[in-house]
Formats: sequence, structure tokens, C-alpha cells
Amino acid sequence: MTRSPTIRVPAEWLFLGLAVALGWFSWRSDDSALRGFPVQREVGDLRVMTWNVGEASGTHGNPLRDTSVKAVIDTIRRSRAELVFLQELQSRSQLRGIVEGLGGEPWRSATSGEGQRILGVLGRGSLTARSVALSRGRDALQVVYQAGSQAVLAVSLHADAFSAKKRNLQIGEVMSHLEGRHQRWPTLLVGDFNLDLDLDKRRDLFSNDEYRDVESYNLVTQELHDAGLGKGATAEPDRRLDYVFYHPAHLRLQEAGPLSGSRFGSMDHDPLVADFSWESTLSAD
Amino acid sequence: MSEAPALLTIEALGRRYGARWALRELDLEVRRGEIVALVGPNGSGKTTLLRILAGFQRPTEGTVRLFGKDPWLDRVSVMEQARFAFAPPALYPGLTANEHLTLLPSTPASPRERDRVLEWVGLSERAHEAVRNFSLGMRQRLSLALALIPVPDLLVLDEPADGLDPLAVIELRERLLELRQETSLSILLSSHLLADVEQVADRICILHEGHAVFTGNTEELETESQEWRLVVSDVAAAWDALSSHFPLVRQDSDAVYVPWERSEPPLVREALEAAGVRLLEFHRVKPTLEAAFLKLLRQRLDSTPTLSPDR
Amino acid sequence: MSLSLEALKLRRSRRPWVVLAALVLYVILMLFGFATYAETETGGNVEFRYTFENESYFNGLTFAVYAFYFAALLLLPVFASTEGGVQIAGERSAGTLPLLLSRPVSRQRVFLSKFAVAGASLAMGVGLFLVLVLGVGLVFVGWGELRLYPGVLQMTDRPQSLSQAEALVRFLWVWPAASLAMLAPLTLSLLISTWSRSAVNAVGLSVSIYLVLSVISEIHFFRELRPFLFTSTLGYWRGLFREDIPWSQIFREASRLLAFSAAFLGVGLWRFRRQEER
Repeated sequence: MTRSPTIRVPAEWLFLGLAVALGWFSWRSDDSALRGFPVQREVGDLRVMTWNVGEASGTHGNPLRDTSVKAVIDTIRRSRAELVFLQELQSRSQLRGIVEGLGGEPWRSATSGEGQRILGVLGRGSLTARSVALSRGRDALQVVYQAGSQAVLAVSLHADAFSAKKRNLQIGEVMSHLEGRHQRWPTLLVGDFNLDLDLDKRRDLFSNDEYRDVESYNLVTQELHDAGLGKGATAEPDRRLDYVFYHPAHLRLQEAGPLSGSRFGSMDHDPLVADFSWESTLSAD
Repeated sequence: MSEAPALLTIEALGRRYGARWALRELDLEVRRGEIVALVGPNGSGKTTLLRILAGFQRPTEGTVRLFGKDPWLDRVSVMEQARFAFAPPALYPGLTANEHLTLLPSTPASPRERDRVLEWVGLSERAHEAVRNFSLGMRQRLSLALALIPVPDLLVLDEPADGLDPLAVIELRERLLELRQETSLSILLSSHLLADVEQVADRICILHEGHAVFTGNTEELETESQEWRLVVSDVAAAWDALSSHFPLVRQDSDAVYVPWERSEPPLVREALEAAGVRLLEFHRVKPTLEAAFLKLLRQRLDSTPTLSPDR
Repeated sequence: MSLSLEALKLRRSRRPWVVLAALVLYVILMLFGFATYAETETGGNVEFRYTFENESYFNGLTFAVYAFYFAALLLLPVFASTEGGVQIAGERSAGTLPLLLSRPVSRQRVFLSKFAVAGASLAMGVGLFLVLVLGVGLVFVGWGELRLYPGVLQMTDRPQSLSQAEALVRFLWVWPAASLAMLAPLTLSLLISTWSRSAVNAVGLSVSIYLVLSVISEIHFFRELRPFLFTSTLGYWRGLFREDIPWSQIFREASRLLAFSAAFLGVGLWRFRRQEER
């Protein structure tokens, strides 16, 4: 009788094989959400985009250059968003140029502030806009957007880039402004908040007071939901600075994420796009 | 003894560290029931050899077979039959002698066996004491005890007399001989002192700079080291005359010495006469074993100025 | 036999007591820091205009989370690196490795016994530490609801609250999860230990590598490197404190950590089996 030979695999190869198998599983199951917003998906009831189009060149950066306007227009078209919030526009005329580039009607636009680095909003429908005065820094921009039979109340904010204390005040004042309104309106709070609280990253590298940023973010998220949560960075280097917050009473998030690869020239932000469906039917006052 | 099978066979063994050969062209056999001593000064290659035998290092050239197996490739199997006690004895300071004997052997010793071995090495009284309180001699004994559970076919002891007092050295020799008598195990001892092993070893292998300069029993070593002592009328002239005819001629103030085995009295007489030196007296000198050992080493130092590095 | 020997050696060594003393000191300092912080935040000296913290936020469970969080990301991995670093290199520098290898026991068994005992002792250490911080939290602060907020400790991404009972169950789950996380620094240091002839060097190098990697994995500029560093996912167990546990993320990150651990163990064993002992 012959004994069949026993094949003895050294344990180190078993461990290395296990490492490869587990690594493969981990890699394969990696969060696909971090691969950006799928623009090809069917547009929801409301697709919103926010984008800081400023450029990172120079000591303090520059607002959108006219040479980059065409790239912005192309990106808005590609995103198929119907409500677009832009930060760091150079002038009102620049926004008008974008509307023209998009083909004019039915696009409407509004801006806030004077001089350079203004906020702009574009909607493919009726827009009513007004500034929300803040005690520190640039004003916020409130719009009521009529999307078909639905009206949405949105506030766009470009919070201070250097001071967590100023950001805290600006965000706090905007939240005070929104208080009670989300009961009646589908509400959005969007923009470049200049704070990044994502897990697993050091927050103190880009903030002079990370704890205050924590306070600011928590103040918002006690009322509103963060659409871009866990969807990856929107700005260099690997920072999530742009937000679309929404109140879940009237809006249901379908999909959100940064529209990677949209930067042009020395821009340092990607647009953040979010698709919503209506949670209930309300019309504008 | 020579009829017994070889447990250990070393053929043309060499081990190199960088450019330096620690061992070169070494041949050795250890047969069942035989006690062989490796003797040599520090740096002669003893430890390297023991590490190769234990499967800790690979030979650079040549072969080693312990129980027919290559210790580097088949260490576990070799260790089933061979036990090593390295010097200095490294033990776990926090563990007691008893715990060492219980946990380290592959087959746990029965309490009876443990007690017997502890008594054998004289540690019964200290069995429950942490090893950190042990003297070097006590560690040496415990190390030996560990190597004897269970009693192997080949026991390899590295400098076993280190740290032992003279009485304990004598006792150790007696115990090893008793052990061989009872179990017919083979023992390979290493020591830098010939005196430690001469009374117990059947054969001695003297290592010098990695080479085996002598392999044989103590009588052969003594014989090889015998000389003619020649008292002559002119020592310097005699040395001149003889050193051109015979190797390893030496002199002191009174006489000239010629290796016994390598010279014939008529030839010596002839050489002296030719040089005009009168031979007044001659007789054979038999050195002590220690002197023979030292002489051998000195001769190697004089005659082989560079065995290493290899070029 | 190898396992019993390794376990007894660990029991008789001073290392567990040093670690215990360090952890107790750490908990005392954390308790002091926590008390002063809570006093500042709730004692009328609140600087922030918009704050979410109040007296109910600061309880023994929050303390336990705070204390465990920092220990699990800094202290415990350092202890794990120390434990792994002393294994092979410690035996080598003490001269006892020949004693172990002079037995008919394979190098694989020697290596894996060391890993098993070190891993089990770390798991016990993690468990005891959890009991310690929960006990101290209960005695000195008192338990209650576990409220967590985004940003704070980076534990959760939306404001949430767990009942006391649920929170205690989560602490129980965190035990094996955090113990598994410790395997990565442990196996890395075990691997380094096979290369080193000095326990001090092995431990020093292991701890340094851990600290460097953990800093790199937190810095935004190294985004591309993060997936390849085990330190990026070392705190994956934090997901177990969320209201809705992100199981897929936890499995993914635990798999990644296990992959790193298995790779370190494999390479370490490969090296140890082929290594000469001089």
C-alpha cells in the first residue's frame, strides 16, 4: 500500500495568501461613493450644485477668471443641475456671461455682494433673491427657487477661510436666520464653509480652532442633514469644504458627491452635486 | 569503539563570515558511546561548529550529518536525538529550575524524572528558586539538566566546566563517564582548556584558526609532541645545523630539541658531526599533555602565519 | 508547551505591570482633564456661542469613550509595538533563543506561540482597560446616555444618542474589534523583531514607525498613501459607537487591518525560518 504524499505548505505562505485575499476583499468592497457623483444618473426632482470657482493662484487666490468661464458653463451643462450656487465670482457681469453661455432663458440668476468674490446663484426657473446680512464678512445669499410647482428656500454661504471664530459666527447667524423656516419650506443651506470635520484626518492643520469648527458643524447638523457626508473631498488637499445641507422634512436625498475632474486652471474646488426628491408637496408662499 | 556507527559526520566543513573563514576543511566523526572533545583557544571556530551542528547556521562548504540528517534543513528531527547546552548558559531569570525542566523539554518530564535530574546536577535544594538568583555554576548545572531530559543519543556541551569550582569539575567528569556507561550516549565537549577534557575524552580534536590541527587520543597527542633533547658543545651551531635538516627544531640555553617522530638519531648525529658540534648527551623528552597542546598551537602559529583570510 | 512557556514568561516579566501602571496613570490624568474640561464647558464659563455640550453630555460613558479613544490610538498601539518588539529580538539579546531552538520544536511553532501569547495578552489588556475606564467613569462620574457629536473624537458623522444599555453593549463589541486593530502594530513589531539583535532597537524602531505612519495617515497631503497604511484604519472600531453601525465599512476596514497583520506575520515568519542565529 502506498501513502499519498502530504503537501505541506509553509505557514508564511498561508499568511501571505490570507493577506492577499483579505486585501482584495477590502479593496473590492471599497466605498464606491468616493468615486464622485454619477452625472449620467437620471435627474431627480431637484438637482443642486454648489461650486467655489475661485482660483488658488496668488497669495490669497483669485476669483473666477474670465478665461475659465467657459469651463464653468460646460460643467454646469454636464451636471444637468437646475439650481447652481457659485462662490468667488469676479462680478455680476461674469454671472450674466455664464447665463448667456448656458443659452439664456429659462436660466435666471442673482448675486450677492459687491466687488470681487461675490456669491451667485443660477436657477432654471423663477428665482427670488435677497442678501442675508452677517455681522462679520461677506453677506449670505438667500433665494426662493420655484422648481415647477415646488418652491425651495436656499441660503448660500461662503464662510471665512481663515478664522474659525468668524465662521462660527457666520454659520450661527445663518442658522438663526433659517430658524423656523424649514417647517414651511424645503430648505437648503449650501456653499463653501471652509471647515473639514471628516473622520480620520487631522483637523488642526487647516483650522486655527478646530474645536470651534466642530461646534459650527454640529450646530448645523442638529437641524439639517449633510448631503455630501462620506462622499469624499471637494477641495485640495483632500478636504471636504463644500456642503449641501438639507432639511429632511421636505427633501429626500437620492445621491450626492463631488463632480471630480471639473477644475480648470488653478481652481482648487470641485463642484458638489446633490439629487433630491420631494418628500411632500408644498408650494411657495 | 571504532566499530560503532557514526552519529555525527563532518566532511570538509567550512564556514565563512565575509572574507574570514571561521572553519575550514574540517573533518570529524563522533561514534556511538564516544566522548570527543573540541579544544582550541578563543576564536578557533568551536562555537561556529556547535552552531552549525545545532542547525543555527549553514555551512559555507562541506557537509554535516547528524543521525544522517542535515541539521540546518532538519533541525527539529535532529533535536529529537541530540541536546545542546551552550555557553554561557542563557536561561529565563524569572522562571525556577523546576519550571525550566517542565516547560522547555519537548516531552514534559515526570516529577520523578525532574527530581532525579535535579539531584544528579546537585540542584534539588534550589528547584523552586528563580534562576535570577543562581550563580554561573548553578546555571551551568541547570543547563546540563535541561539537556538530559530525556537522555539524548548525543549530548553537546559547550564549555561545561565554565563557572564550576574544581571539585565540581571533577564531579562533572565522573558524572559524564557514569552517564556514558549507563546509557551509551555520545558526548561532544568543547573547551578552551585541555585540562578540562583530557581525562574524560576518548578523542580530542584541536582546532586552531578554523582548522583541525590534531585529531586523535591523548596518547597520540603526547607521542606526536615528544622530542629528542640534545645537549651539545655549541647550541647555536647545532641549531643552525639541525634546523636546515629537520622541521620544528627549537633551542634553549642548554640544549637543542628535535621532534621525536620526525628525526632519526643517526641522521642527527651525522648533521652535528658535519657542523663540528659534539653531542654530549641525548634523551627522549615526553611533555605533559598541556605542554603538548600548547606546543602544538605554538607550532601552528609559527608555521602557518596566515590561514585566514582566504585569498 | 511553547504556549505555556511563553505565557509563563510573560506572567513573570515586569512588562504587564509597567503597562498597567502606565494605564492607571493615564486614566487618572484623563479623569482630571475630563473634569476640568466639563467644568469649563458647563460651569458658566462657556466661550462658544453655539454649543451642544451640556451637563448630561459629560458622564461616565463619555469619559470611557474619551479615555479609550486616545489610549486605543496612541497608548495601546505603543504597548503592542513594545510587546511585539521584545519577542524575538529580546530572546536574541538575552541569549535565550538558542535555548528555545535547541528543542525539537519548529521555528514556526516558536514564532506563532509568541504571536499567540502576545496577541492574547493584548486582547486581555484591551478588555481590562475597557473595564477600568468604564469602572472609573461609573464611580467618579456616573453613567447615563451616550451622546456623540460629529467632529468630537471623530466618532460619528451626525449627532446621536445611545441609551446606557445600548452603549454598554457597544463597549462590549469594541473589545474584540479594538483588539483586532492592535494586531497590526503587534505583527509589524514582531516582523521588525526578527531582523533585530537588540530588543531596544526593535521596540524603538517599531514605535517610531507606528508614530510616523499614524501621523502620515492623518495628513491630507498623503491621501494617495492612506489606503496603503494600516494606521489609516486603526480606529475602525469607532463605527461601533454609531447609532446605525456601518457594518460594511467595519468589515472592509477590519479586513484591511487583518490583511496587513497577516502580511506582517507572513513576512516575519518567512524571515525567522530562514534566519541564521549567530
